[in-house]
Amino acid sequence: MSALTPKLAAARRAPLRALDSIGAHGLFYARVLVGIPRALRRHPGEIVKLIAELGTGTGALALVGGSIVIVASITFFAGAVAAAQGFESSSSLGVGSLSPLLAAFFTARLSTPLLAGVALAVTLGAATTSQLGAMRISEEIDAIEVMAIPSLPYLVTTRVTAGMIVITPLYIFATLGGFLADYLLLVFFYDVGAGNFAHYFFLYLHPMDIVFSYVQVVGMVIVVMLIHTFYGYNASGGPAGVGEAVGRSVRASLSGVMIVNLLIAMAIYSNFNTFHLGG
Amino acid sequence: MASAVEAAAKPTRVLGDVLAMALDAFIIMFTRRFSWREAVQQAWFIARVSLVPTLLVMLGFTLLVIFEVNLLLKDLGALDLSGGIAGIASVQQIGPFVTVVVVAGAGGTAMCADLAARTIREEIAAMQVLGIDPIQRLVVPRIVAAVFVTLVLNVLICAGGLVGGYFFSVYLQDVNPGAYVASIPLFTGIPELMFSMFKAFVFGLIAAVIACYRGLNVAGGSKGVGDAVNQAVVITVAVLVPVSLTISLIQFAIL
Repeated sequence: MSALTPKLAAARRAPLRALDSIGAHGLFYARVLVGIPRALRRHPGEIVKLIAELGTGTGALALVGGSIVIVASITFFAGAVAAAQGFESSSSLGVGSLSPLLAAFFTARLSTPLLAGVALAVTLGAATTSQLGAMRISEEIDAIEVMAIPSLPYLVTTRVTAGMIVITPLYIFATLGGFLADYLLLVFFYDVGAGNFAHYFFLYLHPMDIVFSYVQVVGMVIVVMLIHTFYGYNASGGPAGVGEAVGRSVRASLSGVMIVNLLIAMAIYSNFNTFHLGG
Repeated sequence: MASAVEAAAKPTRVLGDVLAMALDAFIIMFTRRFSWREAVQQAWFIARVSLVPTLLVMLGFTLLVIFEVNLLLKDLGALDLSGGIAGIASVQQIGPFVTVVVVAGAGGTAMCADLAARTIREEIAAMQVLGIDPIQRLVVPRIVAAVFVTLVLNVLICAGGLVGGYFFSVYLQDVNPGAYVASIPLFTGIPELMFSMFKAFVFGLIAAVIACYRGLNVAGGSKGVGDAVNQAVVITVAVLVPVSLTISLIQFAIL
């Protein structure tokens, strides 16, 4: 009986605690977004510095070329998987020469935005959490507050803004990586003619698809940066706590990214389906 | 000059270290006592932290693919094949990949954070002083647990993707339910499922080995733990996608 009471009490408080955490997230995100004008006005230099840092990565990641190279190589191999699966499945129906069509469709609409979302969460996002978490536990954030600099616009809003800017070059390389993989795999590995590839690929690669997938990726990067800065800024419990915060934030942002991606895609493509085989 | 050679050799040396640790773990798994208790605890822990994110990511990933492909098939007038595409998507490609991204992102990060925290608190060094091999006591059970959970979650995701795709296609996109079910075996059979499980096995192994290696080789004090966890998950995802392509190409060549 006496062993059960604290458990029951904890169970009774669980819904309230969930509500609390939703409120904490919402309040944090609102304060970050409200701070954007202030960050742009007061800390433009910091934003420029962070753009460089997010694009190239720090430490060991910079050694292999930074986030841009990692994201582009992930979408490259994902595009190759999509092209290979598309070729094999369409050949089993006897329409293997149509596989560039499938490659254009899958790479632009599915593999690039989806894998870019995963890659953003693990590169930009996790790096941000571990950086902010380290600042929090070594009391650098408190020191900034003591110097009368509001730490949220200075550290968090600048990072979210930099993420929204750095996504454009990152997205360009990611998309190019995916298309390059389609070309290389289909033309050199599966012997689809280069002319055949160019014809079907560009026939069904609608320019709006690229714009829409850019919209998807921008939506995802905002979610990723907000979730990861939240866990980093509120890290506690010493060095081990920072590691745990990185884990929890990756978990949350992977789920968040996928759901946001699905919702944006459904909103866009159920109304503007640009794919028309009959022209 | 010497420093340039040193910098170029560093990634090679790290790769060698990772492989050496994996080999050690493999040999110790069969030659020394296996710590069941730790393995069961770890498996339960990884499953607990991975289950909900896996289901959410699976929903987003698989349903998006099925939704888009159904739009394409509708235009081709081949909506009857919707189930076949759902089978390809969820069993052959997405299932193993989503499983392991989540196992690496949820379980792997937690494992890496735990081992890294123990390393910087010098608990691992203390274990070695007491004559306990950290690879036997900590790494081997974690690898076994991660691989086991990956295989179980892969089955769950394959089934979940097909069932979710059924409701999505039939109720939202007007696919004939009988045609959906009948077309699944067109592209996906037992050999494809076996390859999917093999992929999940390899992916789970890679994720666990990288997480354990980064956790045990953490450096740089308090900032190091966060960096180690971050690097572990980046490296895992960056390695998995090429491996996925390779296994798929082997599968197409054999089947």
